[in-house]
Formats: sequence, structure tokens, C-alpha cells
Amino acid sequence: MLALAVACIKIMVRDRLSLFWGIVFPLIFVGVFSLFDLDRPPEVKVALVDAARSPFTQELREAMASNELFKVEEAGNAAQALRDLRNGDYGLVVMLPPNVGEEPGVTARAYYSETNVQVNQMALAALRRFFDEFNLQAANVQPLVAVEAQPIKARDVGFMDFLVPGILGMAVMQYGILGMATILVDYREKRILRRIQTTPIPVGAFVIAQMAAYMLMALIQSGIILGAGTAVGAELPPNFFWVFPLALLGDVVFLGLGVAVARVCKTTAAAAGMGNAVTMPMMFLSGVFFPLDQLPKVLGKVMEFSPLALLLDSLRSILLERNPVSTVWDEVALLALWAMAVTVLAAKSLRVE
Amino acid sequence: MEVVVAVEGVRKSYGSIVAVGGVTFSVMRGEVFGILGPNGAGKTTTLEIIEGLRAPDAGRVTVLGMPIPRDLREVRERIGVQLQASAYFDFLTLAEVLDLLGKFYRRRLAPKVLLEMVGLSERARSLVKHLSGGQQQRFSLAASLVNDPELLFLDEPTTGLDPQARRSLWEIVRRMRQEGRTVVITTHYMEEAQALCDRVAIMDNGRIVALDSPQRLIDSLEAPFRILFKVWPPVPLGMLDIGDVATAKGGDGSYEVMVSDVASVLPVLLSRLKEAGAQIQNLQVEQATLEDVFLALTGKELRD
Repeated sequence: MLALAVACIKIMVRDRLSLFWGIVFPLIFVGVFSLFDLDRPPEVKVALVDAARSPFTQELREAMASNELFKVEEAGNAAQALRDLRNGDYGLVVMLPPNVGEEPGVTARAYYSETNVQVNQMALAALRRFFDEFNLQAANVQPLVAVEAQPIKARDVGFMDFLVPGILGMAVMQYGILGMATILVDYREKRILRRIQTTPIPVGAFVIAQMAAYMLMALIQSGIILGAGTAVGAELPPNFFWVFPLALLGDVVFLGLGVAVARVCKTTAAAAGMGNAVTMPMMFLSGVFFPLDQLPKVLGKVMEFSPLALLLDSLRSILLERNPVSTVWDEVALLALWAMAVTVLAAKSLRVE
Repeated sequence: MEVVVAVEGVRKSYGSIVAVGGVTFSVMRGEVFGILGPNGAGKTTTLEIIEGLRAPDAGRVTVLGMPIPRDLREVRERIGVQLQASAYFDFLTLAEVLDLLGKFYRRRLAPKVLLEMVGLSERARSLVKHLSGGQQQRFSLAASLVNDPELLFLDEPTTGLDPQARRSLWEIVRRMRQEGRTVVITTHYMEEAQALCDRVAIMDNGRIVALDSPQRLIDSLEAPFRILFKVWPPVPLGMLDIGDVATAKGGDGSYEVMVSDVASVLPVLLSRLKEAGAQIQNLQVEQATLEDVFLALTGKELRD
């Protein structure tokens, strides 16, 4: 049994292509995402069409320019500014009417392009807030209540802290499901499983050895991804080692699913396709890159129970929210249920020919 | 003589297709037993039922005195199996594959010894996928010997090989026999069965149509000799109608005659050719082959 697992590991380590997908590919994800500074909101280019040209608007323009969210440019021609907005050169065009600052209740118009989805919500909200604050200041009114943002956690949580557990779960899932499915179909196609069946060793023992090899690889994957994550700015809590048993538990589910996928596929190409059909939706709908609550409510509720979502939940609870492991027993219990169900499924779906 | 494989009334159907339609035979210790037949005759299915890889619909199989599938595990310790068209792990060397397979058994031979047996010592550190077709088949044979089995099953070990590679494999099989192993081999090459086997079961459409030593099978033919000759000018086929001639075919100067008694036919044939003024360019007398046996039994050619 041990000899089998060792042989399986040898094969996996020598199989450069699958090693690439298992380890290098997730690292590329970590690397690419670390290039974006996702923790700082993007700057919005604002064209200011100032019809008043008064000391008041001068003051307003300066205040706006000093706001780090806005990059202010003065535009002389309103029509030209709107054309530029349409072309995407500006995020916002703000038009100040001639009587602004002279009488109360004047409306400045902010134009935005509906095609520029990313910018709108945030930019408009920021613009409103800016005008509110500017009004108060200009009217010399002390706000009755001020809000000061006070983070609850004592430390800065960056996007990498959110992403690294996501990538880790994604990598273990993909390697588990896709790897297991393709390798089993390959061995079936080459009649290696049949050949093993002619020996005193049961084929099931071989599959279990293969699973053990994948689980060892999952530990290595986890270690490497955590290492890469810290290298690009994620911070690990002292009890981060819980990631390893959690990844193993998740891997049991994924490997079992891989065996089930192998059952219905005749060729390795079909297994890769079918494997992707399982892993892709799970990857996008289980919160690898975005939190689940951004999904439609019902879908989000359902996907909360996907094995990947449960794994990510427990990983983030420990890595991101810095909770003790005792807070993730619910997820662990559900994952264990998954593991049991999938193991039964896998045992029933193992096919030698 | 000890029976090492006993097959009794074995049947296997897939839906309405009858793969094996009731076969009975025994294999004796120390012999090379051939199952000869065209593709689709049921050879592989029969073999896989004996090996315990498929369950028969009816019938009984005993291997090394133990019933299948009850004692399958123990049987597998003592038999060697080479599957038809089976590959090995892509990323392991020959020595590593043999080492791994050996660990599945109580009794095992060292990879070095095995590779020597099949003449692949030099390639111990190569990957299986880098071997030629003939080398792969020889390796596959080595892999079936890891547990030093007393009984060996080879399923079409020479299919797709060139004549030289085939002969080198035959040599290995003969050596297996000399070492006292019993070998059960399937093939659709009649010359292979003739060259290797002590006894041959000829299969067609899931049934055994004849079972004996190759020589006895040929001797049992009505006309166990073949006379081949070329003459010029051509003679009419009717001229070859001599008492002990069973069949005569050909034309245009080339003829093939199956005869039961060479001594009585040949003088008559020669004198008739001389009378007709036909010059003999080539004349051969051969023994009939298993091919002729198959044709006589089934009315079909064996070749694909």
C-alpha cells in the first residue's frame, strides 16, 4: 500500500503538466492578483465644467482636487466634455451652473456613462459625500454627528488575505477533481486498472493509494500557496496550521468527486472537460474571488453548502477572521458529511473497464 | 498428468451476442496450451473468465485445483497474466514498474532477473513508453512473471509484431515451458500455434471446434498434404483429377492440390504433366497447416 502510494507520488511529480496545473497555475493566480492594488479604490477622472468662474467655484475645484478619489480636470466646452465621457476618457462630468455659490439651492449636474459600471456606484456616492461635506464647510456649520470609520479588527485586512484562502481551496479542488478523474480514466484506458485486477491487490486499494498521494500533494500545495501568499502581503495567524487538516478533509470530497467523474467519462479528454464542468461553476460560485453574498440570494444560500464554499468558509474563518478553530466545527461537520457521501458514491462508481 | 486449468461448460453472453457458447477443456501441467481462432471467436473472453476478470453466465472453472472465483486471491498469487494491449505507467521506469508489481505478491523475482529473462537488462532505467512495440510486449511478459508464476496466461502476445520480434517472443515462451511453467496462450496466427503449442483448441463463434496437438489436428485432415507447382504452358484443372486428390485449384500455370497420399498422387501427376508437354518450373510438397484444419472445420479462412 505504501509502495503504491510512493509510486503514485513519483508518477505525479514526474508528470510535469499536471504538476503545472496543481501548483504553478494557482501561484500564477496569486502573483497576478498581487499586481493589482485592489485595496485602494481606483481614481475617477472628473471633468469640471465651470460656468461660474467665481472664487467660490475656485475653492470648490481645489477642494475636489485635493480629494484623493478624484482627478479633476477643467473642461471649457460642455459638449466636448460629454463626448469625452461617452468615449470613456472621463468617469464623471460635473457641470457647475453660473449662479452657483451666489444663491442657495442651486443644482450642479453630474453626468456619468452607464457603460462604465465599475466607476459609477462608487464615484457617484463619493461625489455626493464630497458635496455634502463641502456645503457644510461653506456654510460654516458644525456637523451634529460625525462618523469616523473604526475598523473592528486591530489589523488591516487586505484583498490578498481574502484571496489566498480562495486560491488555496481552488487549487486543491481542481487538482483533486480534475487530476483524479483524468488519471483514473487514463489508467482505465491503458488497462492498467485491469492489469492490477489480475494481481492479489484489490483495485480499490490502488485507488486509495492514489488518493493518499493526492492528499500529500494537497498538503504541499497548501504550504506553497500559503508561502506565496505571505510573500505578497497576506498575513498568517498563529493557528494557520489548521489549514492543513481542513484542506485534507476538503480533498477527500474532491477526490471522491473525481472518481465519480471518471465513471462517466470514456477518454481523458472527456474527463478533463467533465471535470472542468464541475470545478468551474464551483470555483466561481463558491466565493474564491468574490464573497458569496454578492450572488443572487437563493443561489448564494445554496452554494454556501458546496464543498468548496464550506472549505473556504472554514479557511477564511481561521486565516482572515483570525478565529480559533472551534468556530469552524459546523463547516467541518458538513464537510465530513460530504466526505462520507462522496466516498460511498466513489466506491460505487469505481469502474475497471 | 495433473490438470492445472479445468473449464466446464462455460458460457457468456452480452445481450443477444453469445461471446462464449459453452466450452469445456483442461490444461495439463507443463504444456503450452493454445487457443486459436479469428478475432471475435471468444478467445479473450474465455481467458478472462479463467483469470476471474469476468463472471461466466454458466459453467465452472478450476485453476490449480482451486475453484474460481472463490479462491481467486490465492490463485492470483500463483498465476501470471499478460493482458492484450495493456500499457504500464507512463512515468515509471521498467525496473520501477516491476518492483512495484512485485510488491503485490508474497513471492517475487527481482526486476534485474526479470529483465534478463526477456533481454531488456539494458533498458532497466527507460520509461515504458520509450520502448519499441516488440520490447513493450517482452516487457509485458516480464511483468507477468514478477511472482514467478507456475501458470502463465498470454493473450495475443505477438499481435502487431514484426516476424523477428515475434520469433524472439516465441523463444521466451519456449524457455518458460522448459522452466516447467504451464502456458495458456491465445493467438490468431496459426503458425504461432503450430510452432509453440503442445495442444491447440480451435475456437470459432464462441465454441471449440477441435482440440488436439497441432500434428494430430493436421493428420486428422482428409488430405493432410499440399502439392504446389508451376508449369508452362498451363494445363486444364480437370487434368489434376487423380484418385487421392481432395481439392485442386489454380490456373494460369500455378496450381495447389490437397492430397491424402503423396506417394500415390505424385507419380501420376508427374507423368500426366509430361504427357501434356508442360515444363515444371517449380514443385513443392508441404504438410497441411492449422489454417487448412480451420478451413476444413469451419469453411472459413482464418486470416483477417
